[in-house]
Amino acid sequence: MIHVFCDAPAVWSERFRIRGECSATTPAIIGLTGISGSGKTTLLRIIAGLERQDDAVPTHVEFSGALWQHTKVQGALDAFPEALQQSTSTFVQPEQRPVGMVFQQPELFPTMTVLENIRFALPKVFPEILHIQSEQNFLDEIIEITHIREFLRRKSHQLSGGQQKRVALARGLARCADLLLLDEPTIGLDHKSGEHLIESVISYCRKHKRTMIVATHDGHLLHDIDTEWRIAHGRVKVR
Amino acid sequence: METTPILITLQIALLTTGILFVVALPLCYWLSLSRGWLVLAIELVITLPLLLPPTVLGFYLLVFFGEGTLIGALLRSINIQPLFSWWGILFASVLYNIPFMMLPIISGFRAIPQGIHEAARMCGKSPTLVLWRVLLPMVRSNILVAIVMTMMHTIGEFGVIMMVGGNIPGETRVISIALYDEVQALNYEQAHWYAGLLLVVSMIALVFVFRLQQDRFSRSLVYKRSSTLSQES
Repeated sequence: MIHVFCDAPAVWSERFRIRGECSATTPAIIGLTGISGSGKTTLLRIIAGLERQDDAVPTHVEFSGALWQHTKVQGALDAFPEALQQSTSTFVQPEQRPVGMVFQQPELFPTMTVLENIRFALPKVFPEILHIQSEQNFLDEIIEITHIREFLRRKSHQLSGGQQKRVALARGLARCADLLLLDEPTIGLDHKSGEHLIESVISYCRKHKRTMIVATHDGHLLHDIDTEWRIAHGRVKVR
Repeated sequence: METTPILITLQIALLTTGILFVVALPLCYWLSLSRGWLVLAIELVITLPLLLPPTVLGFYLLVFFGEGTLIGALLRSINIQPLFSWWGILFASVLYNIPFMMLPIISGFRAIPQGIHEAARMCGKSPTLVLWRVLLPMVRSNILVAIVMTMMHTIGEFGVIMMVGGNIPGETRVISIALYDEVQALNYEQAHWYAGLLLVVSMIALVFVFRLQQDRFSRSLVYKRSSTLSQES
């Protein structure tokens, strides 16, 4: 189960708030939709733990029975729905949450090659439940899905924008986390290959029982999702 | 040309650079991540020697470590002579070179986009590992520039050393002071050797720094070209 509640200002404006409660049974493929600037990135960053954690922003993030974040608000007892109320605040650091995140900008590490970028995200030990035979098998599967085999030895400045995007996606998958967050993964790719890429990542997540939240403003890309979280006019709703 | 001033100069330059590097690197990393009045105050202090005339710094060191001061007396009681000694010029040279070591490294850390920090954290790695594997390699050329600048600046330092160290052969007489001495004595032939040596070493250091900058420049050009290509396609 994933359960998110927030009443947070958007990344780009203090005055604009994103409010709502959304949940889904996991594993699931969740589409996060809404027009540009509606707050999709903010919501993903809250789930990842990258948004600020001050007292003014009531936030609750829960995934697979683990409470990642609960920010109590001083003097506002009814900030949370009754079912979510907790006696203390909790905050799990982003690097300790089992979350792979692919940002809108690829953010590749420029001094590393493509392969080193991906290897950097590999976990120290693979969770036993995944039955991963070897690191190489695991990497091979990711490399196949994202079609990056022919430039594994290159550095990020030798790649086109679309190629960088695919490497970032591969790095997000290599984190081997239960939850994968994708922020507009198809920007910079042409329509057809974007669609193809999303389809193969979705089937990868289904095969390995991962939960994925993909934020996009392009509703056509989401043929195969289980749940849609829609943000409109600052409200998050499950559809 | 005597070799003792050259040896003393090299000792002081290597030690100054080493000490500053070890102290400055963690401090620069912390400063680049923090904000607030304390950071501003520290930055002001570390930048000051860049603009301050060396004689002014030397004068305050003389006052600070003088016979009458507590710290001066304390150091002398444990047999460390803080003025007109090898230790004195080492300390003065470390102080005077703080901005040359720290400013390039701070600006290197600050140039790393926030997104890179976040992407590294989202790879599930500890802050230490992120610093070691992602951030330090990105500021590599800034660190090299800082080391060369500090080293060269120490080798050429005159004013502070004259004020704090004087001109004691075998102890505080570095190359630049030996050169001054030879000129005063109208020994131009000897002076030419010292001056020539400093000139050649400085030129080599500058070529090294320029090549580092050039590498960075051409890499950014390749990056720009590849991003325009991807926009076209």
